[in-house]
Order: sequence, then C-alpha cells, then structure tokens
Amino acid sequence: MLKKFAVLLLLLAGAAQVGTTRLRAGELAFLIERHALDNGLMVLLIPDHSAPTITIQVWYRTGSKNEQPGITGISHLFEHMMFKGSKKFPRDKFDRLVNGNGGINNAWTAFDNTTYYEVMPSDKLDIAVALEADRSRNLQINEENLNSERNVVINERLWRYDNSPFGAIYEALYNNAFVAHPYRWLPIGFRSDIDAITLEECLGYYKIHYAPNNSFLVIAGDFDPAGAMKSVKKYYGKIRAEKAPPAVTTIEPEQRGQKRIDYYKVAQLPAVMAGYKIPAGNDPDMVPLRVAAKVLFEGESSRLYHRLVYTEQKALFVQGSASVTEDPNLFYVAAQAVPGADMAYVEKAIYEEIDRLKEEPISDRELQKARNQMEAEFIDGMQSNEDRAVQVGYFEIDTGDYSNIYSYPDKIQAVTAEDVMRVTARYLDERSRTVINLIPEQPKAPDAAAAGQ
Amino acid sequence: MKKLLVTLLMLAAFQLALSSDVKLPPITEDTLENGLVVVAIENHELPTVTMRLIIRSGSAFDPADKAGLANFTADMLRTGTATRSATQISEEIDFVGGSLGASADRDAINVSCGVLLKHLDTGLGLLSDIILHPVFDTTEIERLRNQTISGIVQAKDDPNSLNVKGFNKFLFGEHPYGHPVVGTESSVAAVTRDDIAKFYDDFFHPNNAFLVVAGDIAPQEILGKVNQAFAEWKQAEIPELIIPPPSNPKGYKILLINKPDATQTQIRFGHFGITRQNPDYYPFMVMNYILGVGFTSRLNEEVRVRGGMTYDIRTQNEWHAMRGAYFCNTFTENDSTMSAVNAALRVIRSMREAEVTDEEYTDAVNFYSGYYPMTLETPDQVAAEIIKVKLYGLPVSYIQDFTQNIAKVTKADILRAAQKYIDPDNMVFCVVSNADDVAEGLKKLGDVTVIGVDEL
Repeated sequence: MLKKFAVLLLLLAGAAQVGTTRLRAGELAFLIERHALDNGLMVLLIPDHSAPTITIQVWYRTGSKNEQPGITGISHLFEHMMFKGSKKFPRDKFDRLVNGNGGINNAWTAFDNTTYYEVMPSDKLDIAVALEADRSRNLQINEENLNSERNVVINERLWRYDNSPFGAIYEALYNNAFVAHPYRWLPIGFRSDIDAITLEECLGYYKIHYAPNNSFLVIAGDFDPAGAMKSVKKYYGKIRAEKAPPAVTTIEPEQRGQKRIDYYKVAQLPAVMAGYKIPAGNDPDMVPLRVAAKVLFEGESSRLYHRLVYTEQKALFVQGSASVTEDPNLFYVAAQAVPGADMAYVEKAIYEEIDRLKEEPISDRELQKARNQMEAEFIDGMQSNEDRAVQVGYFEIDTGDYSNIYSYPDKIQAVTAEDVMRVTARYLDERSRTVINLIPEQPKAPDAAAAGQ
Repeated sequence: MKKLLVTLLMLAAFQLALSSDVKLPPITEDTLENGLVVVAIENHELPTVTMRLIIRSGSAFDPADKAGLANFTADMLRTGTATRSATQISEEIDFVGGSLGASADRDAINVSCGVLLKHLDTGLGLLSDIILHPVFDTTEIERLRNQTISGIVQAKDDPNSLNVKGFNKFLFGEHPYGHPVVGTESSVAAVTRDDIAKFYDDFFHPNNAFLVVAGDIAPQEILGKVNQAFAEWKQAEIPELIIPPPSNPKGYKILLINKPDATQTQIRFGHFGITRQNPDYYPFMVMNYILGVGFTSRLNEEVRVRGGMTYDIRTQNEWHAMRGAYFCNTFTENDSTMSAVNAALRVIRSMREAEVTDEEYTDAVNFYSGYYPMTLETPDQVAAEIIKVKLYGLPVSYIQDFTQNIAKVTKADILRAAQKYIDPDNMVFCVVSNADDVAEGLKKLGDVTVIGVDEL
C-alpha cells in the first residue's frame, strides 16, 4: 500500500516591518512528496531540476541516545563499519561506484540519528539507492576491519576532543549535566568503550537499528519522482521489517542546583562553557528559546558580543545556542577571556545578561531583528539539495514530524517579547545550570617551580 | 537487477563517461565608467543575494615587518565609516539578518555581503560604504589589535594551526607566503594607522578590484544600483609586487614544534607546488586525486583504511597567484608517527615509479567529469568559481571546458606529472607533538630543529 500525498511548501517571507505578519506568498516553493513502503520505510522526495545533481540521505533513527554504558560510541564506530562493503558490493567496488561515477559520500552520527549520504550526478540515483539498500542489510564485517577502524576512530577522538581544549570541555559539559539520560556521553563515546566494543555487539546493533521501519530516505534534486520510487521499491521493497528497537525511556531527573566543575587542561586562555536544561525539540517553547539565543549571541550587535567582546574587550568570543534534539538538551553558552582579563567577570556578565532577559521585555526592534536573522538563516539553509534534505531530515528527527518545517517560518514570526521573558525565566535558571570552568595549566610542571608562574 | 549492476560496473571500469555538461545560470559582465568590472549571476531559486568585492591584493603585499597588514586593513573596514560607527554598521546588517565582512588571503581581500533580496538596498549601501569611506579610527585600531593578538595566542592551542604556521615559515622563509595571513603577535603590534591608511590608498581602487553579484537579481537593475553606489570610486596606479621566487628545499629539513601535552602528532610535509597557469594543470589534478584526495586515494587506502593510523590523510596543492606549497597532511597517535610518515612516503614514491592502473585512471577522470558540474549548484558556488577565473586570469572557457580538459589527460601524462612535480627526496617537514615521544624517530629521517609553541 502506497501512501502518498504532496504538500506545496510555501515558506513565507517574514514581516519587513514590525507589526506586519505576512509579506507575499510563494517566495519559496518546494514540493515534498511523502511515500511509505509496506516494510515501514518512509521516503521523502524533494524534486528540483535547477542543477544536474541529486542527494540521497538515509536517516537511521539511532544514535548515541540508543547506547548504554559499556558500548558508548558504538553508533559512531558502526557508522565507520558501514563503509566496509558487502558480498555484492565489496568495499572498493562501493567506493568506485560512488566516486567513479562523479559522486561523493559520507556519513555522520549524532545523539538521535546516524545519517549516510551520496551526492551524485542526476542520472546516478538508481546506483546510490542500490548501494544504500544493500548495505542496510548485507554488510560483511570482521575482527580485522573492526580493529583497524577502531584505531581510526581513536584517532578521530584524540583529534576532536582529547587534544582540543574546547572539544574537551564540550564533552565534560554533557558528562556532567546529565546524570541519567544517555545524552550524558557524546556520540564519539568513552575511550575505554571504543577500545572494548566487540564484533558481536556491532552485529547485534546493526540488526536491530538498521531496519527499514527504523529509517527513512530523503532524496532531493534533479530526478523524476516516479522513477525514484521505482528504484526505491526495487531495492528496498523486499527487505523485511524488524521488531522495533527498544524505546529510550529514561527521563533526565530535574536538576535542583548548579553544578560547577573546575577543569584543568593545558590551554593558553581560561574559558567557560555552561549549559541549562531545556525541553525537547518538539516543545513550542523551543522557538522563543532560539530567539533568546539570537538576542544574546547572533552578530556583533548582539547583547553579549557587543558588551563583552566589543565594548568591554574582556572576551575573545562569546557564543551560544539552544540545542534542538528529540529529547531535552541544553541551552549552551561558551566564552573565552582575552589575555589578562578576569574570566570570573566574563562569566558573571553572561549571567547578568541572561537574567536581564527574564526581567525586561526585549525591544520591538530586537525582536524583529531576531526574527529576520532566523528567517534568513532558514532560507540560506535551503540553498543546495543537500542543505534542504538535511533540514527536512532534522525536522523529522527533532520534532517527530518532518512536516513541521511548513509551520516553522510562521512560528518564528509569532514569537513575542513576553514569550522570550517567560521561557528564559523558566529554563535559564541557575538551578539547572552546569558550568565547566577551564583552568589553564602548564604542561608537565608537577613541581613548585611552575606554580608561581 | 543483478545484470543491470554488472553492466554498470563494466561501464565504470572500461569506458570513460562522456563529459557532463556544465549548466550555468545566466552570467553577464559589465564595466563601470571607473573601470570596476561587475559580474552578475542570475539565479531566482531563492530570494537571496550575495555580493563579493575582490581587491586583487592580499597578504603577499604585507611589508616584511608588517605581516598581517592586509588582514588588519580588511578587518578595519567594518569598524566605522564617515557616517556610520562600528556599532551602527553591526546593528544595520544584523537587523536584516544579513552578513557583512571582509577577510584577506594571500592574494586578495574579499569584502562580502549576503542578504535576502528584500534587503538588497541595505546590503549594497553598507558594502559600498565600508569599501569607499572607512575612517580607521584609532580607538577601533587598538580594539582590533587586541582582538587579533588574542586570537593568535589562542591558536597556539590548535595543533593544526601550529603545524600550518611552522610549515609555511620553514618552507617559504622570507617569501611573503611564509608568514601567516593574520600576522604574528609582534608584527600586529607594530602596525600603525599610517600603515593601514597607506595599504588602503595603495590598493583599494576600482582598477584593482571586481565585484560579483549572485542570486535573485535582474542584471540591468543591479548594474544601475552598483553604478550609483560605486560611481565616486577613483582609479589610481597600483604598486607592483616583485618578489624573487623562494629556493627549493634540499634534502629533508624537519621542524618539530614541541607541545608536551600532545597525545597525537600533526604532520605536514612537502615542497613547492604549481600554479594554475602551469601547462600540466590537468594532469597534476588527476595525479593528485589518485594520490591523496578523497576516500579512494592511495594514501587513504594505505594509511587510514589498511593501517588504521589516522582519521584523515590527504595531499593538497595551494592554488595561488605565485607557487604555493604541495604537501601531505595527516595526524596520528604519537607512537605511530614514524610508521605513518614512512608509509606515506612509500605511497608518494609509488606515484613516480609506474603508470597508475586503468581503474585508478578511469575513476579519477570520471570523478571529475561527474563531480565538477555538481559543484556549481548554488549561486554562491558559481560566484566562487567565477572569482577564481577572474582573480587568477584563467581563460573564460575554463568552467565550460573543465571536464573535457580532464578527459584529455592520459596515464602517461599522469606519470610525467608525478615525476616532474613530486620530489620525495627534497622536502620540508613540520611535526607538532610531544618531542619526548617523536624526536628520536624523526632524527632517523633528517636534521631536526626543535622549538616551543611560543618560538614560532
């Protein structure tokens, strides 16, 4: 049974002036067709014939959220294993069919999803679908290629997190902010777990999570929808649905007091990263929280940049955003002091500006500025087929329904100054805050000589 | 199903794909009365406009003791004009959700602005104002100087940034490509307001610039607006840059930057590369693809996939006005440093020893034939390609003919390019690591100079 409906996506330009709500319709019009196979695979098609390219993305509804201690990082390690080939398409054949046809491919792993993609010339859609369908079920991996890929992933971890001050405190923030929910580790996983994951664990993970009923396709670009669905049915149609993977039921308990961690690492300058508990991606409060982040951080005229980087010249940078994921995540803030500046002052100033949002309504102009910034960001994020597919895919993952993308531009315009006051007062509360305080230390200076500096 | 795929495999293996047609949006080029060339790229898919004004002078034009001057001048543009303060500029561009900024690279300064179409006049007004009427206020200079130096200090935490800095200094020496675009702590400290004003007066003229406008525009209308905005800009004689070419490395010279807390080693080694004017440009491109670009390259296969020694390894030629570096870059755990370097060197040497295989050759040519047209999907991508053509004086037909020129390359050309442009016995190495872990091994390779992160 094929379920099909198409909706014309009219993303409206926002108000140019304060007070107007709608300008003109049809500035952006993309068609998203939804199909579903009997085995539960959802397929979203976004045709656009302006350039001879197609993007196919396979979104598996699994990420580090679906792991447990002992196998943290398995989603990401397994993502690497997905490039090891099958009987029909051994590794080198797979790569040759993509690159040798003018395409590129890659993948990424996040808290809630693992996504694979090919960007190919438009006449190569069928090959890309064949390759993705095949490796979703017929992957052949062994101890040898698992061990060599494990070392690749260890090098990735050393590079992104262990040898980078900001990578390190970003990981520390999640490790400390969450006590129960699996967002407490990052998709890269803990080092000892990466070392210990077994082939059997990988195969078990694969069978449960890589089923058609636990994934969806987004295909965007220069293709004929009927032809694309013919390829999808040809390669995916015979794959069986599996029992649904266990749901992640853990709810992070309420945090009832600030957590503050002193984190010592070799670094040139002190820094702070803080996170507040915020609701899930589908919560209506997320839109005003994103507006609050724009007011604080976006552009050189934003409140915190203008105060700390420009006027007072205490911070090298200050940034932050509301992290949107399927389960409740963090509103994070990060700043680094310029040489000689007092990090404690920078941190205090950040909290002052956050508190000000709770106490005074933002001006009409600031509200309109934030709306304009979010509108422009949204439209810029629709530039390429790949960008569009990513946005649509993340609406599905984060909010539970891709079609929420239709109403997002209107939701941005509907946010009021009172909404911003209400959500900042409710969520950006010291009690739910976790702070990682990066304290630079000298390399290898255990004796007293270095302590005085 | 099975049969179809077999046929496809055979096609990929034995036949060169027909070069794909590049599909470009309408592009017009006009010259204003003052000589400013304006290229308009018309693409109505989204209601956005990007404007990029290119000044044909970058950090290569920094005076020897004022490294970072081009970048400093570029950064100053947003900090105030005759009629707008830095804060007013920020407020105006942020209010419309646009972007406005200037940055330097070795060969050019790029001043750019992106806005939704309905805010085009605001964007163009700001762009032309910061280009035509900057005031270089001394308070703003000191603010920016502190900011820039803080950034240089912070970058010492980044092993890759240290590696790039050390490698360029060691390879290029006194040649202006040897200093960081952003400058050094001491050179940025030495920049004066007069230096900035002089750099601006010397190089910011319409005959040393061009403007590319891409997006949801009508070319005639945009030309009228641009003409009005830039009409007062005056031509002037532009100082010429005469620089003797740097000398090639002899043997192996190794710079080890000691970062005692590093548990992973950053490695970059190589020598000088080629420019786009080189007649072997296309053979070199294909040769380099097979050696060290992308996931199917020989280096990736050997060092990452088979060796498990890194997350990333690649070779890259810096395409600049003068010869840049041609280098290999990777990172690995400290104790596999020498295995990774030696494996990479073996693979690099293999390129000179025999012709590439039929499979490698076909895949590389087919990759570019299919991939290149896809890199021209968005108006911003087309703008970037047009800027490349104009800045580096490439033939007008460069974009249209690219895939055909790639298809003309033969296996013999690739071997010739490898033998001519890879010199595995004469290279500069820069390694960032804990010297205690890697110095002994590196000494077996050649002379090692060890410095601290503050000595760069």
